[in-house]
Amino acid sequence: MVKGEQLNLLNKILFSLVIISICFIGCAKEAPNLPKDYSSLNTKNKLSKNDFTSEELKLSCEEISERLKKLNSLNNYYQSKTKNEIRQVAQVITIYGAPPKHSFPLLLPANTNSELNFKIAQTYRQSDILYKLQIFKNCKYISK
Amino acid sequence: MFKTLLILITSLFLFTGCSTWSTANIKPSGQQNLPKKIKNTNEIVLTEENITDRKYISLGEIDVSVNKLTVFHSDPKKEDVNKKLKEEASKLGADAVIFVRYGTVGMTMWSYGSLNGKGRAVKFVE
Repeated sequence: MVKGEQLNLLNKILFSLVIISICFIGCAKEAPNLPKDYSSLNTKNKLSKNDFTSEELKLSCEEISERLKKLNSLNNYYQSKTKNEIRQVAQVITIYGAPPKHSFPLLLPANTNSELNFKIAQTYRQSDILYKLQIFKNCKYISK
Repeated sequence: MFKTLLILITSLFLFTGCSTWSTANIKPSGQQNLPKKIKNTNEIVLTEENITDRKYISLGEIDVSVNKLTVFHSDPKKEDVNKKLKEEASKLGADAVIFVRYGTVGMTMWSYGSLNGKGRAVKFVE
């Protein structure tokens, strides 16, 4: 094989490896946006009863804390699941090297964690409402 | 001789020493005229929740990304992001970082493994 052809082949192999990595390992996902600032002394955002449903307004401070704890542990569970899925996919690549011919699902360039990411985003959304409620009701949560 | 030295240096670089590099972006809240007392990062409180038992002012939102150096290095962890958030918070003179949130590790344009984190830097008033 001529040297130029060898280099060309090497470039093709490297490029294919990069594309395969992107397909299987997936793109990094940014952290979700932070909730609006309603609790600092220098905030310009204000809360009112209209920001909440009637069911939400009925919750006590203890109930809000309890729900937040459950949402946070659910969030941690989903995040650890996401990490394990990425690790499993990476292990498949390590074991097989190039993707096996029959593994069609693996060949699809997709984020294998889209459902989990949606659930994580949902837990954050629900937590944000409860944090707002905590501030509106003037609940005192003891910081660690 | 030169080739051997180059291989040795490259191997040292790949497998030891720095395994990550990071970036940070700060969106200040406007409280920039406060005297900055740079805190030791170990003294900065980091929480994924809000702090409601103490009054504070917001100094700004911190957005950091921790990236692995090469494909051979291990993925960045939450602890790496926490360390970077605390570093940036200490530069602002913050006492705590609240509402800390993390993305998921994956590839970006510039790195084989990147983890993003965000948080709000606050300074206690009382």
